[in-house]
Amino acid sequence: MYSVTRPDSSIYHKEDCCKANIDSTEMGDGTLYITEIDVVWCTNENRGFKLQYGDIAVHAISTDSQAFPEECFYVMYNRNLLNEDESNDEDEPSVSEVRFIPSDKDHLKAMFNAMSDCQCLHPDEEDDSDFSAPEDDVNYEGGAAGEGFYTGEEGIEHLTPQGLATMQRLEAMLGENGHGESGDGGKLDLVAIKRFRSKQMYFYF
Amino acid sequence: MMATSKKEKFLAYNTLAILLMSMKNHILQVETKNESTIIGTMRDCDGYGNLVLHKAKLITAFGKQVQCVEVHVKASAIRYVHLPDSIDPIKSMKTQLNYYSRQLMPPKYQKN
Repeated sequence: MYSVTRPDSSIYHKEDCCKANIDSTEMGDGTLYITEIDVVWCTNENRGFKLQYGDIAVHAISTDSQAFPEECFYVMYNRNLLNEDESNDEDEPSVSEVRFIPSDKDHLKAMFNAMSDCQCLHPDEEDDSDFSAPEDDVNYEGGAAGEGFYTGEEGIEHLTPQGLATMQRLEAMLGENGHGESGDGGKLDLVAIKRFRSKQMYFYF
Repeated sequence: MMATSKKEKFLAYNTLAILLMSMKNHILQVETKNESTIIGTMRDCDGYGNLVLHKAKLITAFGKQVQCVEVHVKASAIRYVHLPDSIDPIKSMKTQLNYYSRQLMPPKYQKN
């Protein structure tokens, strides 16, 4: 345990009167904060611990009275929390079992959902990804049935310089013909641009 | 529950996450990279391969068993997923791809 600051924003779930237990070691009573950035638990003296989403392998609602006497929110963490100072070599997988025991068991589902939602915000980085393209941005618009379909302002940022130039040319054409609206920051309502890996562009009206 | 971003859609179409998605309501055995095993009924899977299992048994590396109502397993933590013998992976993937692309279409273009 160490000094932690209570989060004050992006809190998905806050659980007062929540006990914490790490690897069968009681940590006491405190407040659990499930935020967008990390998971914080701290006592009234502002001492506690933080969990990073990247190291949370599994989280679950456990009702097994044999494993643990109370219903609890179980988190499997890929770091040794109790012996942080130990310079454990990273090759040896270390796991901590963290349990949060709220006084109100009805909140377990809400805690689970909050953590699931926040996990979605922290997708894993693929180290040996087959999809790392030579370009800086991976082209997520390609692939078997990938759809790079945009309407409206959201699409503008996804255009390459070539795409932008083509869009402006098309808008000029549409403006000349009297239908559609000519570019005022790019209204793409009449134009859908689909980009393939081969960098060809097809236009649909 | 699972957000659908462009990257997630791309991964769903281009990785074996689609095979996992087709395993809804099947009993799966998941082996994690930290030597744990989780056996439960698959309820949800997103494009990244994050799994939600219901009525699951979690067996830790130390052999301790924990019964769980609901388990969320992060994709990066998964080493293996044991699939049921009864399913045909290719057929399941094709069906799921069709279903998934229909789900993603704007409502007015969906046939049903």
